[in-house]
Amino acid sequence: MSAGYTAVGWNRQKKLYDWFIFGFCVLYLISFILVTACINPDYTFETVLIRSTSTLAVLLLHVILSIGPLARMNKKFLPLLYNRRHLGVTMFCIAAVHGVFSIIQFHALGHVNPFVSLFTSNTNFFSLSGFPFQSLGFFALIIFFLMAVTSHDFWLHNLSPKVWKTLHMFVYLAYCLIVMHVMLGVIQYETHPVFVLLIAAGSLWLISLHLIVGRREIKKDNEKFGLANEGFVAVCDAGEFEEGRAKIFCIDEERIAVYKHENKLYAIHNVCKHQGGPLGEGKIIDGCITCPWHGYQYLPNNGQSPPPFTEKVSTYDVRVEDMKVWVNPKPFAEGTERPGAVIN
Amino acid sequence: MVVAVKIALILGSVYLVMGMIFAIFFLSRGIEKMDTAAHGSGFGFRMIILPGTIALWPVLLKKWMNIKKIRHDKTAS
Ligand code: HEM
Ligand code: FES
Repeated sequence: MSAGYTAVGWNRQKKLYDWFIFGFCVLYLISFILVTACINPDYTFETVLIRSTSTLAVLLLHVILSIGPLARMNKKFLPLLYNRRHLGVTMFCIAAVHGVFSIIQFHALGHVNPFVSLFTSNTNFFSLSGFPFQSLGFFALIIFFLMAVTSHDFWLHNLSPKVWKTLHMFVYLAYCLIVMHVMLGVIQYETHPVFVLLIAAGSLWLISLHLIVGRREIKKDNEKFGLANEGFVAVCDAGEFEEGRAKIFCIDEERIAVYKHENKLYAIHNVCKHQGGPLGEGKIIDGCITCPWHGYQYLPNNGQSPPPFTEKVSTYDVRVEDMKVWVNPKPFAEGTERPGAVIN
Repeated sequence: MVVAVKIALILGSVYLVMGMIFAIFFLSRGIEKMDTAAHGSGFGFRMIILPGTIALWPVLLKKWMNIKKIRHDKTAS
């Protein structure tokens, strides 16, 4: 959290994750090169390098974009979310190898500056079969670059979380550019439709995943709570809670996480101070509500991060009467101590 | 078209060179003044944020100047 920066926040689990990514990438590249050597022995090494890195980058991009919705559907995917940024930076580096080698291969051998050549050697902007698809890849790479270099928490604080989040939403624009880059490029370079089929399947997968999760969230947010009493709203049965876990309720358009901890219920705002992670989808670790995204922690009774950290979230009042749980959606100032409600 | 791309390329290069010069000053001095959490942070951390500093230097410069101004106003009043 925000008490001194380190270069990379590694722990045992994250190191394991990074070794796994590294091993997978190396294995993929080696297999791609070997298979190509067997099937198309006349391909040059540059061509194989360009193709192996481009397909690996696209594969990683699909994994990255799937992690968010998958983690929403099933908590088993949460560990993948923890280190998503390392995956993103890896993806950028691999895509950069593809970009740089493409520029060298196709533009650096003449006497024109390679970048000038990239944008001027083909100006068929109105032709589908001859479109300068490489410039699309270039702009996508710029977006990935900006995301990769701003992935450290330093940037989150100094660009402000809102600007940072907006910048990172551009990944969807970059994804569209890549789909076009591949579709339009493959028409020109390949007769084999396998790349087009793969990327079409990939887009279909991502779109369906996002739609399913989006619909679920909307349904949950529109749930109506019937009873209201002195500002308190009846939300559910006290028996529905699991120790150390939460249920999220959307009341008056505000999401509130209600946690069960040592047989008491506590309510805090569902939005993590770090990057807006869903606190109610985390769990209690060492007595603290722990954000599922990057592990920021808050005490259940006052919404404050344990010292030396300084983050605070709003708290709410909860009541339990006849095993019915009531929540008051009026927030207390961030970090206000609330007693919690004993489950009788 | 070729001229436009050439101009864009020159402007881009100038921007990045300015970013590199800015990064030297910012990473050695400005960063600790601007973000208290950067106090005592190591060389590794500075190298990790170096590429972003070169690419987004105007944002950091603006923030750094604002902090200087606030300090100045405080001592003046
Ligand atoms: C400066 C940026 C880029 C340039 C100049 C560039 C150039 C190229 C070229 C020339 C090809 C055809 C290569 C061939 O088949 O021989 C290609 C294909 C491809 N590119 Fe890019 N690209 C860039 C960025 C990207 C990025 C950022 C990605 C994805 C993350 C990407 C993904 C692909 C894919 C999947 C293919 C099809 C498979 C292949 O033929 O390699 N490209 N690109
Ligand atoms: S810890 Fe990063 S969003 Fe909560």
